[in-house]
Amino acid sequence: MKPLRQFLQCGVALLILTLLLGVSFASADSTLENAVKAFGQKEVEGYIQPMADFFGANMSAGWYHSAAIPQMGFSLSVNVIAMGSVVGDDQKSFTLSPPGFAPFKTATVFGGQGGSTTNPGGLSYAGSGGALNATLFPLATLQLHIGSIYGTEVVIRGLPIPEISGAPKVTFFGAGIRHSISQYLVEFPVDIAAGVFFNTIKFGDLIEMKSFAFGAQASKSFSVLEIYGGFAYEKSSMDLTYGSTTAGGGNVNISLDGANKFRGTIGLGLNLAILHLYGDANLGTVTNFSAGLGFGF
Amino acid sequence: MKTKLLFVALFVALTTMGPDCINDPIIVAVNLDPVTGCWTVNTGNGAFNDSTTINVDLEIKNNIDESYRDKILKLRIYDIIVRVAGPYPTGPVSGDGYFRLPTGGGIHLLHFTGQYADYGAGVSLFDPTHITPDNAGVQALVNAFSDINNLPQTITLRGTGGGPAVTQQFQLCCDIKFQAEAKAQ
Repeated sequence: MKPLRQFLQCGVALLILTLLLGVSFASADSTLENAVKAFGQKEVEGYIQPMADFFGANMSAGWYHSAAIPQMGFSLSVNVIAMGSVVGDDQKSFTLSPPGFAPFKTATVFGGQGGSTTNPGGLSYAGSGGALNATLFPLATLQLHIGSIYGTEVVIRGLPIPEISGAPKVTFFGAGIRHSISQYLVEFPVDIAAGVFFNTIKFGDLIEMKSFAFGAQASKSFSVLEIYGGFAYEKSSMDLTYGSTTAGGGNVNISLDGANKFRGTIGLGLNLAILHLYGDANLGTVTNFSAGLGFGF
Repeated sequence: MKTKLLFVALFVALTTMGPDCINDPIIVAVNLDPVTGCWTVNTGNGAFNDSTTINVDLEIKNNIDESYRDKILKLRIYDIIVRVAGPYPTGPVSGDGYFRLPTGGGIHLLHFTGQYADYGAGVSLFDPTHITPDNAGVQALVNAFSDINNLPQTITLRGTGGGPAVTQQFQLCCDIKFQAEAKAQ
């Protein structure tokens, strides 16, 4: 399969599978979900930590593609945005330390074959194999930009996910507010803005992911092209609650923090009247990309 | 059921769209509830020589969640725990654990020492201060359970030893911990 075609197919496949796995996991009727429920807390933390890192990085991406916010006047744009976090080698394995065994490397959910170890007494212990084979972990959203009053715009995002009978409700919602800084600066060569953003994704009462980010953005237009970028501090978490079926597992309540704490963004946009195309790269602990298509003014 | 059917249908579509995205098979390692045998320490001088026979094949399979019971690829023993069950007296104890399969004689598995109190929460085979494993016996036990399709029907666990005189009957127990590798879908 050609690399680009594989990339796109895997991206769409993984996006749908991610949402379905969340629904399936929360609805308690899949073999994989029952098997993961057999993990004790320490094992599941290591196994799914990369997923928490990638969801967190994705949720904090794509909030802006320009720092130019009109001081006054009605503006509205509807956008479709896709984000993706790069799955590096570091995210494919973790160190597991079961009692009575030396620590050993085994696969995360993005890894390959699980590792194993044998102690001097002749007993062995193994980790699970990975489930997903991907170079990019995706997410997508619809996003609305509404402005502007005194150089302030509101950003709202979400993904309408239909309810499935018997499955827990899935909600995906985010909101942010951005304010123009350059409106206070006389003849500043670039547009500057600042913003704060919140995001949440929930699968019933089982999985909840939250993110928070704030930062500054800058942009400059050259005819139809616009270069933009910024810096942001961010924080995200994935909370997982289930009753473990493994021996001694008990109720498992896990809260995993996303690895990304800070990001730098550089992007390029194409503005054609009411049509806007843009894409950016985000550098942090997790390397992340976003791209979007918008209609508006 | 509807969710599961939808998931399966879309999963099939996804596997044809992007077969390189999902590992096939997905192997998960699950820790099962232990198989336990207990020996009674009767009131009296504190000596014990008791055995218990467990329908181990059935017990292992009952400990496997039904959603992946028919998808087990491998089985392994990853620990053996010695513990006391019930009120016990203070004082030192020492003894030996043996096992016997449906065919063959008894095989020495481990020697344990210490205080009864040390075994309240269970002591692992890997605890060198309390338990000395018999490596040949451990290996024989591991080998006996290495083939998921040819598990022994029963296992007899025997404990012998002695400790302080007891005024109330209680039990010494041995937990064999299994880990199964299952093919998840």
